[in-house]
Amino acid sequence: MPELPEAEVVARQLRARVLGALVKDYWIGRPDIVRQGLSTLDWYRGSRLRAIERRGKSIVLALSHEGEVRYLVAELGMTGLLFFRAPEERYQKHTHLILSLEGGLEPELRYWNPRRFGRIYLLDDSGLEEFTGRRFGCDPLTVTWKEFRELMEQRRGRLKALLMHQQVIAGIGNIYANEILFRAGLHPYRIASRLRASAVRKLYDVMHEVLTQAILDGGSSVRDFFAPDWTEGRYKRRHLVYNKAGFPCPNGCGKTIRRLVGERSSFFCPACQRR
Amino acid sequence: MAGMHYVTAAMMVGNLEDARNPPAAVEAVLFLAAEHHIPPPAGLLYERIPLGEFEEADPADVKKVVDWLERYAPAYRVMVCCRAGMGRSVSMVIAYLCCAKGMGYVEAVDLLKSRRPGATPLPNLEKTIERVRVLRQGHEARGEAGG
Repeated sequence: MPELPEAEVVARQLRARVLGALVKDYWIGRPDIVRQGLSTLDWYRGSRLRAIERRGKSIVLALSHEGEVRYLVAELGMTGLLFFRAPEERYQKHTHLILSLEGGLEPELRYWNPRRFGRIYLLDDSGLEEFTGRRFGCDPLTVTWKEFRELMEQRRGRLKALLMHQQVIAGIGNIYANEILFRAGLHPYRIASRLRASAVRKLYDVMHEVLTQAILDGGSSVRDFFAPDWTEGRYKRRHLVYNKAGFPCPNGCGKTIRRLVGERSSFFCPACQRR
Repeated sequence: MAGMHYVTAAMMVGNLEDARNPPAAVEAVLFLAAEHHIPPPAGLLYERIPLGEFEEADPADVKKVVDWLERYAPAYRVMVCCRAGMGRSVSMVIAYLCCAKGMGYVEAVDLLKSRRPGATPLPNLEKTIERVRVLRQGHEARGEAGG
């Protein structure tokens, strides 16, 4: 389930613990986890971690070696983790890539994923530009109010689907889309372009608040998300509607949270989020 | 691969290829990549202030950048370039916006990240900018012109 907050937590921890480290060696268990650039994997041996960033829900490592810069992009998918050590046997089994490090605060960085949906990409500058241009819309943490408003005005689709459309707004998944829409008082099926300016502004502000608070709380540990140092995300305790079908509405309106079953479940209050 | 991105209508960030072959809209190039040398583009205002990639920038160098941009950006469409157009170029535009235009650091970073996907500010940039502000105030107090 890693969404933007979880990916941001991962990026920050990696920056704090392994930025500047030398990649002494690598081990790859399943070469097919590398979707692009497998032939360049040897270049990464002896490279140094120079920058670590988040793009959408992906982690981008910039490495330099002999005057050249390349990137390792880790898509976590629904179940992927990046961590520094494997605390239990079950986390050895689905570890697909290990970077052995020197000079950082951690000896290793591991990519683990029990499913095949996560991916690793090994890219150069132009490859990274093409990769991000294809995949990522605006970042909800940095998009300006003007750009966000224009984006909403142009979109005739349903609001929740729009928030989760990675090529429009990158990084929000089902958990945070539900939480954001509840707090903004907006039904998941509202049409973006028909929102009043005041509603769009509230959505923009709430989006920032929710994502920022979730990052501060270390993300949401739902279905086995852990940060690289194995700490759990605490934002799950602040969830108001996600997975809370049948619970009383936290606004005290007297209604219960309902679940709309679709491609991804929507949790909402029928009174507080009118269609 | 060219990768110029507009920050404003008159200020852009670009990569090494953009610096070698500036688009027609560009009137001035500020080139920051210490590890590369390019011939000054013909017919354009050009300056090189070398900065190391992925490194914390020296406030004295950043002040040179800010002073140069303050002098020329009002009159020229300026493209600030480094190797990939994501780190040094972005960081120096952030520094200019903060030091010369009074923008807050977070606001400037957000603006650059929205205009240039993948923007990666240099290490400790905010502290560096604070030191540049102090240097600039010291110069102003002594009555020294920028640049």
